[in-house]
This record gives sequence, structure tokens and C-alpha cells, in this order.
Amino acid sequence: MKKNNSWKMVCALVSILSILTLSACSSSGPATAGASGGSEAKPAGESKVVNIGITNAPLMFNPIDQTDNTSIIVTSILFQPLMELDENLEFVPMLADSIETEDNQVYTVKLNENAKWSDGEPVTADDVVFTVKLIGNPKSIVSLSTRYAVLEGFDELGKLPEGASDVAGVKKIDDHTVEFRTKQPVDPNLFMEGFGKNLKPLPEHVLKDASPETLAQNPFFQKPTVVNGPFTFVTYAKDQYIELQANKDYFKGAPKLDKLNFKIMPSSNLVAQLQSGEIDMNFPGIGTISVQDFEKVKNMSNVNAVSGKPFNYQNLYFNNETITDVRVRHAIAYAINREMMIDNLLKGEGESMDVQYTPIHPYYNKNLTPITYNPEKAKELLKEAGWDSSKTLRLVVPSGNKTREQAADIIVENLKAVGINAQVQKFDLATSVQKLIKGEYDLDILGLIFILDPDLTTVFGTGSKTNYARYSSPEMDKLLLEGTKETDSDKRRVIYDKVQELIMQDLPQIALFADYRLLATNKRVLVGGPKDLGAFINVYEWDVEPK
Amino acid sequence: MLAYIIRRLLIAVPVLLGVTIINFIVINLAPGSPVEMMIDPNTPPADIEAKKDALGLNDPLYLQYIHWLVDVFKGNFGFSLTTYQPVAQMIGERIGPTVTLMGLSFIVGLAIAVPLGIISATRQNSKLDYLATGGSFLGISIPNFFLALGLIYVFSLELKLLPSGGMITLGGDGGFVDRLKHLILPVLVLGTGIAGKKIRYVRSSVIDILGQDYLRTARAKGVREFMVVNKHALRNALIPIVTVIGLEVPILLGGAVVTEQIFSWPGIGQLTMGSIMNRDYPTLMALNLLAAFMVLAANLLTDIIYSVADPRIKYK
Repeated sequence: MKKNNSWKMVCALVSILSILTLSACSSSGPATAGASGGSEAKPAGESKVVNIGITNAPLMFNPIDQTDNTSIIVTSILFQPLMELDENLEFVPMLADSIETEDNQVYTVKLNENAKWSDGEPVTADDVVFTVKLIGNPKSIVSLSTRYAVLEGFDELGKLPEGASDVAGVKKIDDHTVEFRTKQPVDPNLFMEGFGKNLKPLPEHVLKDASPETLAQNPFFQKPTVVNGPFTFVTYAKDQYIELQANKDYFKGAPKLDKLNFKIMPSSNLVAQLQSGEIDMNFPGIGTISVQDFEKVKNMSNVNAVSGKPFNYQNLYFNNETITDVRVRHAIAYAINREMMIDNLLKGEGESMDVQYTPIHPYYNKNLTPITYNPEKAKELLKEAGWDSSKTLRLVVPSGNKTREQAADIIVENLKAVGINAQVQKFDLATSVQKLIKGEYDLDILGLIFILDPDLTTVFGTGSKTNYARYSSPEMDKLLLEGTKETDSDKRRVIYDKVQELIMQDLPQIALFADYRLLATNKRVLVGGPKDLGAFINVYEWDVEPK
Repeated sequence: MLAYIIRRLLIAVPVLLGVTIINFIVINLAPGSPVEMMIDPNTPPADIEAKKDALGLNDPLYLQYIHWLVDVFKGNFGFSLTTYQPVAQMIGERIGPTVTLMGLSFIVGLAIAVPLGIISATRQNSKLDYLATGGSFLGISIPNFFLALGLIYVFSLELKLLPSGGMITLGGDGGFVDRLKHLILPVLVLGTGIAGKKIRYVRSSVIDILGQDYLRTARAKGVREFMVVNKHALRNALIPIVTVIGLEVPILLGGAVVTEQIFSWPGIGQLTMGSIMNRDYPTLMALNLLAAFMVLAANLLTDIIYSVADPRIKYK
């Protein structure tokens, strides 16, 4: 009898457990049933699948409101931009066949006439105009609307007047031609980057009845059913994977792959899954392999490992309000041993730089004299400036990037060697950006990404909220204004050469080094692989040996 | 008893309200905002301000709180500031995986802990006792992430027997066996930790009871030792263990942040972590409210079960 009682308890527990398991199964059942239905059409052995390992889960798939890198990357496969920037810094036609201008003010966009939405409707000029007006609608939630401020009819925040129907800045000429008009002539590259690369049209016929206020909450952006890219959306299993399926009607040609998947995992698993073949590649920015692991990846027999190009860099901000003396800023720059950091910390996967353009940026001034490690000079400069060695500088560094955290520790040691006390303060990214905004720091390291247009007004302009260094120079303000007004790229180069000379002279911030992103691809991938820029331009040509 | 329960429920209302106010203040005191988490630190300030306006983040704090509270009373937990999905939906789709993972881990943990605890209590200072207490010590001491990585290395990488993460195989059928395979490693990791803690509770609780007079009486009457331990002793020994388990029910829903992250398990823990990193206020508020509610409910339930299990306890 007594034994029976305890058995009853066990039975009850087991039944609770099975209910729990089953209920969990049924809750996510429908999504996976749809997914497996698609793959059953083909024998598993023959289907060509590429799995990309990433560490950052996407938030949503909304091409007009993009706040995280995974969303941006996946969204631009689903919703093709007009143009895409490749690694040679040239624009490749995507949805648009061409973007042309004669006076740098009126830009004519010719859309690819074969471009179709995945439901069969053609991609037309109406879609482009619809999307631009949606971004300009004062009620819609978008990121980066200010770049639309250059267009005729948009206010300085890139918004349209309430209820505007006819907009001078964007006009449909015929079904496949759209004309953009800017308020003043602008550098064609600025237009290409702002509108060619970043404008990804939405399907008007699907979303035209959605109200702009609640558009962001539309389920379409969680599960975009109608897209125009080489792959269509199958499912996003939260925190696990994004599954994309070939769009046989893609206008540049049917993809050779059947599926393209993004698998989400902690960074500790990236290398293991590369080795086991569960993932075929990582992806820069959203699936970073650390320098410490890279040696191991290079030695894997099934993987090709390469380093990326110097597109991204780590920047050291000086708080110009607490470190007012330019000699002290120079002294700090001379005291930091960047050569050692690149050799030992980055294991050679990086290069030294000073100004906020990386060495491959088209506006990089090659005639600058680089700042090199020189502790003696640093000491001299500090003596001249009468540095008070009892002061302690706060070096703020965002946590999460081990290499960067170690770089901060090295900087502290370097500074100590010349007689400056510094203390590392680690915070999560949101907090450290807040410290920058509020100026609660003396030194701060932050990673920055590549932007083609050379304008640095938001970085160095007096009073700009993102002028974290709190730098102010009338000469710089004048140069930056000239730079934005000039449309001729040769004349712009002269201006930005001067901007860089001034940066080196005043040193409001210093770029520490460009750290290459480390890329790995399984050898079964015949065509395709991760790149810093434009990796998915030819994704329809990607090919693998079947598993 | 009924009056007692009603009184406890009434007290719960101001407590929950207080919890939401404190939470709201604390998460708003944390530096940064959902919009400042936008990818590029060089985003033009005008864009940041425009988006903050659009999301209502520039309203005075008390107004934001009142808006939120009014919506909650209407049964609307609002929309996430980062994904714009309804918060209730975001939490809803993660409760299943978390309860599965944590429920199974609890069951596995207890299935190990209860027999081992009893054995080591009845055979105090035997080799088996040392093994069980030693094992329990190990279970508590091994950090989850370390055990998880070790298991992944052995079972996924070297033996290639089990998947290293996720809930279902990508492109697979997502059937029962597939799900079970994905569950084994995380359940093992969490179960080990739970078992480690519980072995000690069971052991000390059984030892305590074994010294009681009524057990001596039972033995004196000629009841077999097996019965003495498994019926007379165990029943009473389980009462304090029920309390401990009851108080851990909220953890069942809270998920295990580290383990979920390592195994890419789409549970509440990962959602909480992501919401904190992204400063997703509405999601955090709802998660906190859920947690507070669970703690209060579990406490009340434990108290009720306690009085049922132990007739000496009476509530007025």
C-alpha cells in the first residue's frame, strides 16, 4: 500500500512532465510544420543548403526601421536595395539598373524591369515613391530619416508636411523610372549611399492600407511574406535560426542554393560548429571570430580562413573639456604602443591609423605623418604642459569585445609608464554610450563602422550631440560646412585633406587601429562567402557541394 | 483558511503595484535608452530625438508609467520598443520552452536528489554517503557554463551524438525525438545543479527525522527498516523539501539565463537578457511583473500546501 502511494506520486510527476513537453511542442508546431513541408519536396541529400553562423539575434525585418546589424543584413537579402556597395567601393546595380544625374541635383533611377515581388506583382516606381513617402510620413517610426532632409519638399528632420500627397523630391516618371530632386546639388556618392544603398522599397500593394502609426507593429515585419530578393522568408525560430528559401523567380536568375540559413549561437560555439560543419561560415559584425580562436580556425582542414579589410576601427575619444591641453592629448597618443597591440593583441590582424578614415577610405589623406610610439616625447610634452600627475583619468570601455578590453588595459599601463594615472571603467554598450553623451569620461574607446561619405559634421561639428569629444573649432566648422556644400569629388578631397590635417593638429580624438574582421568559409562552399561589404550581391550565384 | 487566502490576495495588490513602480524607476535610471542602442554611435542626434518622440520616450516619466499602468489594467502589456511585437505575445511564445526545460530539469534533479539523499542519510558516513555528498558538492560547485561547454565538447563535437544548441534541428522534422535530443544536454546541466543542492536538503531533513521518537517506536513495534524509512520518515522529511521546492517555482518561469544562452534555447532567460541589453522597457516591465506575481503566488501556494501537509500548522 505504502509503496503504491509513492508510485502514484511518480506517475503524477511523469504525466505532468509529458503535458509540459507536449504543450511546448504544440506551441511552436505550426511554424516548423510549414518549414519541413518545404524541404520534403526534395530529397534531403540533394538540396543545397548554406548555414551562416551568427551571434546576434535579429529584432525584426523592417527595411525602413533598422536598428540591429542582423536585421540589416537579412533584410537586404529579402528586400533588395536600389544599389549595393561592394568591397572595391563601387556601387553595383541591384533593384535599379542605373542611377544617373547631370547636374548633381536631379537623379533619375531606372528600375530593373524584370524585378518582381514574390507574389508575382512587378516592382514598380510606385513602390519606390510609396516607400519614400512612408519614410517621410511624420507618423511613421523610422530610423535615419534625416538623410531624406536633402530632398526637395522634406523638412530638416527628413519629414514631409502632414498629409502631403505631391512631393517635389520624388516623382514617378513611368512604371520603372523615378526622379529624385535634392534641394541643392549633392555629391553623387552621398546620394548613392543614402538612397541607392539604403533605400529598400516595400511592396505598395501589400502595405498600402496599413496606417503609418501602427505600421511598425505590422506582423509583416516579423514575417515578411512578399519580398523581391533572391531568397524568400520561411521562418524565424526565436534565438535559434532564420530560414530562407530560394526565390526561383529572382530577377537576376534563380539561386543555385535551395536554402540559406542564419544560425544563432553564442560566440563560444562558432568555432566548434565551423569545425563540425554545422555552419558553413561566420559573418563579420554579427558572427565575429575572436583573434584568440583564429589560429585554430586557420588550422582546420575543412575551412578556408581569411582576414577582412580595414573597414572598421576602434576610436579613442578624448574628453576635450577635461583634457583641455592639446599637448596632453598628443602626449597620450605618443604614449600608446599601438605597434605592440597590433602584433601581440591582434596577432597582426589589424593596422595602425590616426584619423577617422581607414587607410582604404577614398578620402584618406596619405600625406599625413602618422603618430608612432614615443614615450620620451610623451614625457616631454607632459612636462611642457605641466601635467598634474596626481590626476586619474577615467578610461571608459564597453564590455563584450575582449580584444578591446585588453587594449584598454594596455593603454593604462602605457600611460602609467609616462606618468599618467588612468583607470579602466567597463560598462555595457548602452551605458558607455550614455557616458559619452553626458561627457562622464576622460578617455573612451568605441568601435566605429565604415561610412563612404566623408562628412564628419556630426563627429566634430561644434554643438553636435554626437560630438562626444566636445571639440569646438571655428576652422573645423568652416571646413566641414564647405565639405558638405561641395559636390565635386576632387575639390571635396582637398577640403577633407585639410580636415584630416586639422584633426592631427588638434587631436580631438585618435583612431587607435583598424581591426580586421576574421572570416571563415567551409571548403564545400564553391562560390560565396562572408565579406565586409556587399557579400550578398551575388548570393544567387552561391553554390555548394551537396552534403 | 479562506479568509487568510483572501487577505493574502488583497495584500498582493499593493505589493505588485509597488514592485512595478520600483522596477519602472530602476530601469529608467539605467543609462541609455532603446533608441541610443541603435547600431551606429554616430547616428545623427536629430534622428535619435525624432525616434524618441515617436516612441513616447520623451514624455515625463510619471506619464509614461501611468500610460503603462492604465494599459495593463486593460489587459494590454504594450508593444516591445525593439521588435514592435505585442509584449504578451513575445513572452507567451517563450513560456513553453522555458517551462519544458526547467520543469524537466527539476524532475531530473529531484529524481536524482531524493533517492540519493535518503541513501546517504540512512547510511551516514558510509562510502555511499561520501560519494553522494561529494557528488552533491561537485554538482553545486561546477559552474553551469563550464559543464555546458564540456558536455558540448564531448557529446556534440567529439562523439557527434547530440546537437550543441537550439530546440529543433534546422530543416529537420522537429518531431518528439528531435526535441528530446536537444533537451538532453541543457537538462543535464541544470539537473546536475538542482540535484546537487537538493541532495543536501533531503539528507539533512531525513537525518533529522530519523532521530525522532516515533520512529524508534515504529522500530520497536517490529516495522521493517525499509518501511520505517520510506513511509514513516520520508513523508515527514519531505515537508521542508516541499517548501524549498515551492519557493523555487518562480525560477521555473524565470528561465536560466546562462544555460539558455549557451544552448541557444529560446526561453524567458534569453528574452530577459536581450531586453535588458536593448533597454526594452515594456518587455522588462512585463517580465518583472510576471516574476513578482510568480513569487507571490508560489509563496501563497507553499503556505497552503504546508498547512495541508503538516496538521500542526494553522492559519487564522
